[in-house]
Amino acid sequence: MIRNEPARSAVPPPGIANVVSIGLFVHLFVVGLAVASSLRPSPLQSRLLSVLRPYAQALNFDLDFTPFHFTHGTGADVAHRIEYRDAADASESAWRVLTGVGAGWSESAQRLDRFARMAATFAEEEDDQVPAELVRGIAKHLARNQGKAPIRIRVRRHLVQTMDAASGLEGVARRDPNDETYFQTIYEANVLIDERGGVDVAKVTGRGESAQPVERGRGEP
Amino acid sequence: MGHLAGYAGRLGAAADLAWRRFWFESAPIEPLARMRGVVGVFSLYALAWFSADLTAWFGADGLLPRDTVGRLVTGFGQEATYRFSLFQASDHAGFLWGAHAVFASSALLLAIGVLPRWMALLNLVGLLSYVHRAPMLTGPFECVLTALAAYLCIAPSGGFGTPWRRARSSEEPARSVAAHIAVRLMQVHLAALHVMIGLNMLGGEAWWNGDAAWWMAARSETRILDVTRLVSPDSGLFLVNLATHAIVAYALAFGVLIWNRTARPLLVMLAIPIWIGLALLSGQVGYCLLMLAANLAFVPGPTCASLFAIEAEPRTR
Repeated sequence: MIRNEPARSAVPPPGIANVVSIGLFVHLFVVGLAVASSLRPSPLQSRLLSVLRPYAQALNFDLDFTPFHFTHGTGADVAHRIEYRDAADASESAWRVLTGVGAGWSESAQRLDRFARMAATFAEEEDDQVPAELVRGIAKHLARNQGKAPIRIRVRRHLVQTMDAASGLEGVARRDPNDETYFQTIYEANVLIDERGGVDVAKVTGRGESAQPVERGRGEP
Repeated sequence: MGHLAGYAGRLGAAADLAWRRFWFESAPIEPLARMRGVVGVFSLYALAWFSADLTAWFGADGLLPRDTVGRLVTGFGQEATYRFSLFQASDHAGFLWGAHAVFASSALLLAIGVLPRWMALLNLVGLLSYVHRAPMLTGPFECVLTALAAYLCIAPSGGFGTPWRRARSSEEPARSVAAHIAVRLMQVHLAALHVMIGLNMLGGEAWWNGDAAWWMAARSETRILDVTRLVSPDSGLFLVNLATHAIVAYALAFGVLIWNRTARPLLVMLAIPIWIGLALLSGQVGYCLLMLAANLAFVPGPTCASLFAIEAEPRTR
């Protein structure tokens, strides 16, 4: 076991202190820059961050839109989930939710929430490449681990109740926060897994319509 | 012109003196030893949750295969990335579980203070390996934890029992300039994070109009405590507004007032209801409890009582 011996550590000589000071200054500049540009970086901040990225990103000081602020009260701040169905039955009861381990506050469940939110964010920006890439991984995972391939996967958002609806304000009926009307589908795709394990993803663009399949990822069969 | 040059010289000398006093003081290692325990325990917490679904995320048939993450973090080959993870080496289940066991052991040994410098380094490599294997799964909890873990690597943090031993004995404390620098870095980082949290909150309308606490409480999936039924239409709105404004005010005040010796104990005590309340409302347990525990970096002596004695210290010298 390590012994805790009393010892007095001397203050470093000026030469060493100067070198350490330069290191501290550079590090604090990186931290300050990462912190200051965590939400809406200016072009200057973005440029500086890209130069300092090898250091900031490698040590995870690069905060990159991390939601330290908990919520901004927008649609992106509510709970997101991934749902799938493996049968042709199109009723709502046929959909199953991909769940983590533990309650909703567990780190496992929160990772799934971030995963679904990422797909939703890109889908809303009309970038179908990222959601398709994620859906491909989900489909393969479900097919291998549950033995039955999903035929459709969707990303849904659970909207937050207003205070009036939750409290049953006079004239407003108290509503169930898990009512179907509080759910919004952000992205939905048909999935086809061929016999070699390749996954085709076709975004559902309207009521029962499918877009052209998104190109398979590189390195896939 | 001469006045200006004289002022610039005095300003430079004063800044230099303040800088050296702030960073290069030989101080007891107990505060860093305490933070070692905090980092070790929260690293174990993070890794314990990965035990639940390690192969589901990182395995060969996982939700996030290595090539998918590679495409996502480089913007489909458009950007350079500097994310290095041991888990990028293989997605074989045996390798994943072996590495996971090593990293979990290092977190445990770090928490109890066995080979603390080596374990701090191994723990940092482990945490960064999880973060960089799938950065899209990480949140503020991992950002704070990896920063604290990184600072822990630069100085000796004492062995087994260091935070408590001297509190019960009269032996002279082990002192270290490097340990002092590590604790200072943690303090500055945490203060900067608080300012950023406060400013980022004000970047959204919900924190201005007082609704943000409701937005957290109404998320039925994540909240731990359901207070929505307690909110009456009349008084509830004001309670929600009060909680919202108090959280913003605290975050902004912390970054500035924590450097004031008189205000520091108050801010550290206020951290308890603020962060526990946020954990109950938002469900972000790891993040909130880590931010709360990180306040221990501002306790200067071997015991928590030293936080309150700090004002009396200069007068007795």
